Amino acid sequence: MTIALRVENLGKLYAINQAARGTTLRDQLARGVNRLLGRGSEAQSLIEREANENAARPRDFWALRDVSFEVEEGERVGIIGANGAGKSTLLKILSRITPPTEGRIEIHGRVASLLEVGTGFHPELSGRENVYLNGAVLGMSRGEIARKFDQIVDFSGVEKFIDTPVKHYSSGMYVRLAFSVSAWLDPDILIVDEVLSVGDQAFQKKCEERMRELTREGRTVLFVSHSLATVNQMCKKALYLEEGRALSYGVVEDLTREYNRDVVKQIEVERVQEHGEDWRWHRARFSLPDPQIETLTDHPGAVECLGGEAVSPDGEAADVVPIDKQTHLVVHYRVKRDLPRPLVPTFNVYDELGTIVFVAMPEALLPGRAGDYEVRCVLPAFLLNEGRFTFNANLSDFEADKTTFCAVVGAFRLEVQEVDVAADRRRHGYRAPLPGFTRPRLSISVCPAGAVDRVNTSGEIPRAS
Amino acid sequence: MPKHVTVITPERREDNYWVDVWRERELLYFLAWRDLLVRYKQTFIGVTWTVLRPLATILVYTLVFGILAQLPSLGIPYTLIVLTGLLPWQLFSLVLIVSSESIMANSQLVQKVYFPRLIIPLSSIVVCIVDHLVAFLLVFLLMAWFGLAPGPQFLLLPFVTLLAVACAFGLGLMAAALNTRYRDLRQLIPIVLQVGVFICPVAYATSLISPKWQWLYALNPLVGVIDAFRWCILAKPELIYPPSILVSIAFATASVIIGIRVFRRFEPTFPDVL
Repeated sequence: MTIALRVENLGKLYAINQAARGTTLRDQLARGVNRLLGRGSEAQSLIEREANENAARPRDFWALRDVSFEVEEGERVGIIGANGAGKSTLLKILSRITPPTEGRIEIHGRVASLLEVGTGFHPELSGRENVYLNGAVLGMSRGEIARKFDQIVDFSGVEKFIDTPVKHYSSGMYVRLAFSVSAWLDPDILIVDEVLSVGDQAFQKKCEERMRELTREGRTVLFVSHSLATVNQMCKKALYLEEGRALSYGVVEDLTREYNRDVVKQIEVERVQEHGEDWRWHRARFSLPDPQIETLTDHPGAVECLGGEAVSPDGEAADVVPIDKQTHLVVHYRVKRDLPRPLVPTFNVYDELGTIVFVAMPEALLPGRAGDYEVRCVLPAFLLNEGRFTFNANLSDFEADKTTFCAVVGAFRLEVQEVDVAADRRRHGYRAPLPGFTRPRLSISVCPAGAVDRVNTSGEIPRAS
Repeated sequence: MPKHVTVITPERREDNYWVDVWRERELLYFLAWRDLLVRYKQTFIGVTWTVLRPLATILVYTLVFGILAQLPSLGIPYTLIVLTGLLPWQLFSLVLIVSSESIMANSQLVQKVYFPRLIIPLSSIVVCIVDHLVAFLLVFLLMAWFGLAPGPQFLLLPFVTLLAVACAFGLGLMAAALNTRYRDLRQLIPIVLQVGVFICPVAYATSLISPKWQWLYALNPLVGVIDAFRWCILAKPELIYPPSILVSIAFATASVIIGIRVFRRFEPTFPDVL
């Protein structure tokens, strides 16, 4: 494989209080005059005092430090990290807009960087003129733009207004035309900074497709985004930056998992600060009322949730659940008065970031007569993948005007844990974590072609006899 | 096909800067084209304003200095004295203002795309030169009005024009670079120009200065430029004082060389301080 991009020990230092050191000529002059007049410490000017204070503070900050990675030709690499992690700085250095403070970069081939769409657009000029101007700014030659002009305009969908000054465009039209120019760049290495999120849904779809098309032609792409989903879709590898350092560089699934985990960890840290040291994410047992658990109802006084527990089949509470064991979620309700209809007990399951995984609907109903009841939901083994899940327990009457009788938000927080990977008969040597929310053991069978009747439906792999 | 290899290091990229400038000449062309389009989008209105503005100034100066103050004019219609002083002065001040503000005016480009930044001030002065050429229509108009024919010195005008541009451009480059750091510099330039219009022989001929002080006056580099311009059109030998031309040429050269140096020194930090 040939290298397209090599980054070695890259660092960028910014002087934080450069601004405070007097960026106007007036300040500089004032300081000079004071010095000339020999004003002593007592008559020290405000500016100078300020400058001295600033000198005591840390002056510099590394926006990027010790970042090294290599990108092979034709690879698509995502760059992820929180705000201020150094993503934009990295892109600016790669596109030569600002020089690094240390380190070295080697780029093989022509680079085009899209740090924004419509750079250089002038409101007074027509769409046609702006296409040429923007093309030139992005590094296209006049002939190249002329050749691609029709495609660009066609893609943007603003043919009718191509000779109208862009100041009369709607913001959607403006952005569409701007993106279209970028979409027809033809570099060896493309650097993109979250420009996909332009226009309406339909146009976004079109843009994403075009980006994929561009990358299919063996082009090397560096792609920065907050949207992990997009990075996941578009890139095989990713660089994870945090506070200017490269935390890791590798396969995108691993990295997104790591990134998610960090986001969750951060939320946890905030929770601990809020609720004290013994706060724990996990929750296998709860009893209400509990100030940390939110309950919702449209019918106050009708039903009350008393508490609940997540237990293993032998009845022991467990917030960490082995993936190969079932778990029973038990919730206790008290119906306080007779209701017109029975209630429907359901469970919602969310992943760590709050994405809904599924909703479990019941076969049995809770009688609408006053009394205490117990709802039991069996989570089979190998349903959820390893990871952390949050469960809401609900009681509803879907025929009532307002359906919610009782909803306990975050009733259970369970962590599903991988068991011995080597002993798992279904892994066949695959040892890395398996991605996804669920891990159902589906029947996947193999038989000689044409021997349909021998297909085994028991869910077990047919054994060689 | 072997691919072009770019190496980025903290050191300044001296080696192929001028190659890059040459490679990006199309961008230079497009930026100049943009400025021209914006200014002359409606050709007639654009040209009218470009001619009317100096014409108004010429009339006022003629009235004040020629008719009211009765300054000497070597037997030349005073209108022509003012015209031949105002055109090079306007070119100088416009190039200085436009190039000194070019980086700030294009900060969006500077922050989002890489190319040798020199392209920006270079392209910005094209519109000044075109303005000058349009305003030059006045020269033909007024010469015809006063029944004057151009002499052979007329052919030296491009050179004099270049001299005026060079003087201003070098200063403009320095100002453009410093402008990114010291934001109030831009307020200083109009003041300097306001005073300058009276220090330079714009509204009067250099012959107004007593011969005893001519040498001192000639140290102002614009005196040579304006005198030469006036001489090219009006062809009176007493209009010109040769040492002043040498001062102008020396100043123009130094201005451009130092201007480029300063500009390049500040160039890498433009995106960080804008």
